[in-house]
Amino acid sequence: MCMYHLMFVDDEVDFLENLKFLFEGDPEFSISVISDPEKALQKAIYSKPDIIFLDVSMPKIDGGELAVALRENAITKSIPIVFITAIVTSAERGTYGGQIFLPKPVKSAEIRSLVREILG
Amino acid sequence: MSVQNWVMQNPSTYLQANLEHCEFLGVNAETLLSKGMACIVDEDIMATLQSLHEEAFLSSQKMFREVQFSYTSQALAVTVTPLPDEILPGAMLFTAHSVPFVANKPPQPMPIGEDILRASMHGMGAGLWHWNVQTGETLFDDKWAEMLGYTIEELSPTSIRTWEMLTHPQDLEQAGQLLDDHFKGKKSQYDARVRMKHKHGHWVWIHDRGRVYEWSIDGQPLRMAGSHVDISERQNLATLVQKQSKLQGIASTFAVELLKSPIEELDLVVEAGLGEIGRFLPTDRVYIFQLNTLEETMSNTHEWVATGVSPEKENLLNLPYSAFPWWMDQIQLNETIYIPDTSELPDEQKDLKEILEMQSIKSLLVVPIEGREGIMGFIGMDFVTDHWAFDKFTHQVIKYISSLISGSLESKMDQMQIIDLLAQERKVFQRIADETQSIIMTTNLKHEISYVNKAFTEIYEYSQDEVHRKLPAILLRAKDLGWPEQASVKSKLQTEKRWKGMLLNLTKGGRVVCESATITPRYDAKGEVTGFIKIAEIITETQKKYNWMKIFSRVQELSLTIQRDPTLLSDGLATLLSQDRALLIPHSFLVIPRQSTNTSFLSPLFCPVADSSRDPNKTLKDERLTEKEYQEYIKARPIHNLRSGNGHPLQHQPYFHKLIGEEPGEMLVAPIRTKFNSYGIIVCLHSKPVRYFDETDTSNLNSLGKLIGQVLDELALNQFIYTQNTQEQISQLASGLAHEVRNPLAVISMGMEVLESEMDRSNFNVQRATDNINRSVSRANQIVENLMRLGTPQEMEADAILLRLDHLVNEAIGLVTYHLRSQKIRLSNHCDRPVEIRGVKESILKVLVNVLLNSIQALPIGGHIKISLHGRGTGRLHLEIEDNGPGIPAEDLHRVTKPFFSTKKDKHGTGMGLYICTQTMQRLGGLFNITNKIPHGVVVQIGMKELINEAE
Repeated sequence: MCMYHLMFVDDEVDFLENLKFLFEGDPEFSISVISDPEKALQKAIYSKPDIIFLDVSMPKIDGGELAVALRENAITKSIPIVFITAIVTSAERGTYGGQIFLPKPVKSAEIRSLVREILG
Repeated sequence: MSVQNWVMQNPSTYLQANLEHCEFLGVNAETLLSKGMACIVDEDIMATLQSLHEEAFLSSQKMFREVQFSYTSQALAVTVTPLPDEILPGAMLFTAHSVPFVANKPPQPMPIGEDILRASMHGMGAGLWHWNVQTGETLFDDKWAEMLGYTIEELSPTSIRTWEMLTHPQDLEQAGQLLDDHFKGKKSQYDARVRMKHKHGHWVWIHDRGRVYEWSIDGQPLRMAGSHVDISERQNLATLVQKQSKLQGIASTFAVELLKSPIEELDLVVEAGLGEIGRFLPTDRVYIFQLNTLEETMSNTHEWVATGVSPEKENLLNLPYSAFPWWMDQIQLNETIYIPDTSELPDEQKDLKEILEMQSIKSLLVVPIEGREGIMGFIGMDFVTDHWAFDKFTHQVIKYISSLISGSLESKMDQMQIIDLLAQERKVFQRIADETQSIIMTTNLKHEISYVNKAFTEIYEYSQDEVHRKLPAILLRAKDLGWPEQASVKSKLQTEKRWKGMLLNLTKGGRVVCESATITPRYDAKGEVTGFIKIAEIITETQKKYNWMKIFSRVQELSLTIQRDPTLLSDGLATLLSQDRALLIPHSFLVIPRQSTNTSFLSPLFCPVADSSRDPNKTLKDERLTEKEYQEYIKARPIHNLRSGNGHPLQHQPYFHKLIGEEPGEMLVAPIRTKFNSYGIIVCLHSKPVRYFDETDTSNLNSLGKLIGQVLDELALNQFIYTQNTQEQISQLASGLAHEVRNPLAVISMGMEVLESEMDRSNFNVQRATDNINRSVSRANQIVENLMRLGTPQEMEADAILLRLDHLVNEAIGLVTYHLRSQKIRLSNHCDRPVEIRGVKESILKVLVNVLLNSIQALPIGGHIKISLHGRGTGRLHLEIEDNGPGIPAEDLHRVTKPFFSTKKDKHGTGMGLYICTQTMQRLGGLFNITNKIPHGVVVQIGMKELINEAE
C-alpha cells in the first residue's frame, strides 16, 4: 500500500492538532499541518504533498488566494486542492467551478475516502 | 466569509463560476454560462464587473482590486490571475471575497450593539440613528445627513435637538405621540413619516422607524436605535395620484350635471364646470368656442375666468377662420394645440403670437370638440400668471370633457330646433323630426302613445303601429328593473305638467337603453293641454363611460391603500367594486382568485355584491370554482347570456347560481393576470332577463382586470422586497455564524474521534456520554446549516421527485412518536389513501415534522391532533393538521410565519420553524397557512399540487 501525503492549511490550531492525533501512525496517510497560510506555498513546494486541504477564511491570505498562488507555481500547480470550510453546508459538498469543497465539521473517515477517490 | 471565483474567456464570456459568485450576481450558473454578463440584472454590479474585466484583460497580468457597488453598499476584494497558456490561453481566473464597504469615513464610530441587522440596513439605503433617551445624546451616520443635503460634520455635534430642529413642526407633534406610544408599550416599534428640511430649503419625506433596545428596570426607555429612509419619491407619487383622482372626480361630476340639467340651464352648468376645472388646474381662463361652419367664423360661447383676469367672451364673437389659418387647420384636423411658451412661437405665426401676447397668455392648451358632423368647436385654457406643463393625464381628461360637451351642445341644439319647429307646420315638423337623432314621442292625456319618430323606431326596434295607443311603461317594461326615478313620472306630469330626468327603457329585443328626457305639454289652438311630448337623447354609453371611469379612479385609491397596508387588499377590492347602482341596473362584481395561486395574503374567495337587495356580507366560503371551470371562463371571454343558454359550455352555472341565490342573467368574465401568473377572474353579472352588457363593458372589464393585475404586481413587488431584505439579513447572520460556530464544532467533532479511539468502549457511561456529545454537535451544526440554507434560496423544483404524500405523513408521525407518547397525545390520521405529489422529500418531511412538533408543544397532556386530506383527485390537495390546543393569540397570528418569531422563547425555540415551512412550501409552488379554529385550537393548511395519472 502506498503512503499518501496530505497537507492541511488552517488557522484553527486546535483543529490541526486533532487531525495530527487522528492520522498519527496511519499506514496509508501521512500528514503535515500548517497554521500560517503565508508559509504554505513554500512548504508545498518543498514537500510536494499528494493533496492539499485549504481552509477558506484565514487571516492574511485566504484559501482562494492561496489556491491561486499554488496553481501559478510550476511545481505545485498540478497538486489537487480541496477546500475544507465552514462556509458550505453539507448539502453543498461537491465541486464548484472546478474546486472541491468539504464542509466543516468533518469526520476523518470522510477525508480518507475523499483522498482515495481523488488519488486512487 | 464566502469566496467567489469565476473564470472568463473574454470580458463578457464566463467559462466557470462558483455558487457564491452566481448568488452574488443573482443568477443561476446555467444562465450565466450561456448568456454571459447580459443576464445580470443589477446594473451597478454589471457595469462595475465589466470595467473590472476589461481592465484585467487589457493588463493581462495578475492584479488586485477592491471594487465597490455603491448602490448596494457592497465591496469585493478581487484578485485576477491570467491562466497559464497551456491550460486556457487568454482566460482569467477571478477570486473575490467581500470586504467592508467604505463610503466616507464617518466622523464618529456608530455604537454597535447587539443589533445584528444594522449592517444590512445600510444596504437598504437607510440612514441610521442612535439615541440615548435619558441624555438626549444622539448619533447619526453620514447617510442620514446626506439625505438632507448635509455632511455629518456640518450637523455635529448632534443631539435630539438636531432632529427636532430639522423636522416639520406639524409632523413633530405626531411623531412625539407615536414615540410616546412606543415608550408606553402600546406599539412594538416607533414608525412615523415626517417631513424634514433639506439644506436647500425644501422638505424631504422621511420614513422614520426605530425601537428601544434597552429599558431600565422600572420600564423607562434608555437607548433607542432606528433608521431613516427617504420616501419623498413615493410620497410625491401619492400626491400626484391623489390629484389625478380629484380631476377625474371633477370630470365625473361635470358629466352628471350635464346630463341632469334642463336645456335652459345648460349654459350655466357648462360654465360652472369650466370653473371647477379652471380652479383645480389652476388656470386663468377656460373657454369654449363654437364654429359656424357656414360663415366660417367662430365665437366664444362659454367662459370662466379667475379673479383678476379680464373676461374676453364679449370681444371674441364671429371671428373669421382666415385670421387664424394655422390654428384652424389644427382644429379641423382634430389635433390638440399645446403651446408651452407663447414667447417661443416661431416667426411664421407672428400674428397668433401677437394676439396671445396681447392677452398676456404664457401657456395654452386647446382641445377640439368633435360632433356628429365634424368639429363643432374647441375647449381651451389660458395660463396668464405662469407657464403650465402639459401632462398626458390632464390631456385625456380634457378630451373626455370635450366629448361630454359635444354631446350636450348637440342635444341642446337639436331640442331647441325641435321645440322651435313644433310651432311650425306639421309636415315640416315631421320631416325634421325624422332626421334628428333625438327620440321624439307624443302621447295623449292618458299617456297613450300617439306618435314616435324614426329615431325611436330605430333604437327601440318597434314600428309605429306596434306602439300606437300603448302605454310607454307597459311597452318598455322599465319598471322591471326597479329604476326608482321613473315611478314618479306620471304623477309629476299630472301635477306639474313637465318632467325632466333619466329614464331606463328596454328595446323590443330586451336591450337596456338610458335616456335623458324632457317631457313637456302639447297645447291645442285654444291653449288647452292635449297631451305630452317627450324629447330624449340616448345617453347609455355616456352614462356607462362615466360609471366605468368612476371605478377606474378607485383603482388608484386601491393602489394607495394597499401600499400603506397590504392586508387591506381584500377590503380595498370590496370598496372598489361595491357601489350602489354603479352600472345602470343592479349587478354584482366578483373577484375570484385562482386557487393554485400562492398569494397567501388573500382569502380564497370574496364577493362584494352591489345589489342592495342582497346581503352585502354574503360570501360562500365553501363554494369553489374548480380549475376546469376556471379555465373555461378564462377561455370564454364574451358575454355569457345564461337565459338563452344554448349549448354554452357552462350552461347551468351552478357555482354562480349558488353564489347569488338565483340564476344569473348576463355575465362578463375577464382574467386578472399578474406579470407571472394568472391570478383569477373578475366577473360582472346581473340577474335580470335583459340585454345590458355590450362590447364597451367587455373591454372595460378587461381593462379593470389588467389594472387589478398591476396593483397585485405592485403588491407582490413590495412583498418581494420585504423578503429580499429578510433574506439578506439572514444570509449575513448565517455566514457569520457559520464561521464562528462551525469551526469550533469541527474541533469538537474531530476531538471526539481522537477520544473515542483512545477510551474504554466497554464502559457504558463513557459510551453514552460520547454519543450525547456527537449528537449535540450534529444538532448544533444542523441549526447553523438550516440558517445558511435560508440565505440561499435556490434549492427546490429541480430536485423535486415523485412522492407519496400518505407515506410522508406516516414517516413524519413516526419521527414524532416519542413526543406524542410522552405527552399522551392522541393522533388520528385520515390521510391514509395513496396520493402522489412532486416535491423534495426532506423539505416536505421537515415541514410536516415542524408542524406536528409545534402542535405537540402547544397541547396540554392528553390533547388531540387530527390530520386530514381534502381535494384528492382534483389536482389541488389541502392537507390539514389541526389540534385542540389553546390556539395562537390573535395579535401573533400574522407574525408566526415571520423569521425569529417564537412564542416558546423559554423552551429554546429558534423562531425559524414556521418561517422555513412557509418558505419551503412557497418554493414548491404550494401554500402554507395557519389559522385559529373555533372555539379553540390551530389549523395548519398545507396546499400542494396533486399528481394525477394522465391515463385516468
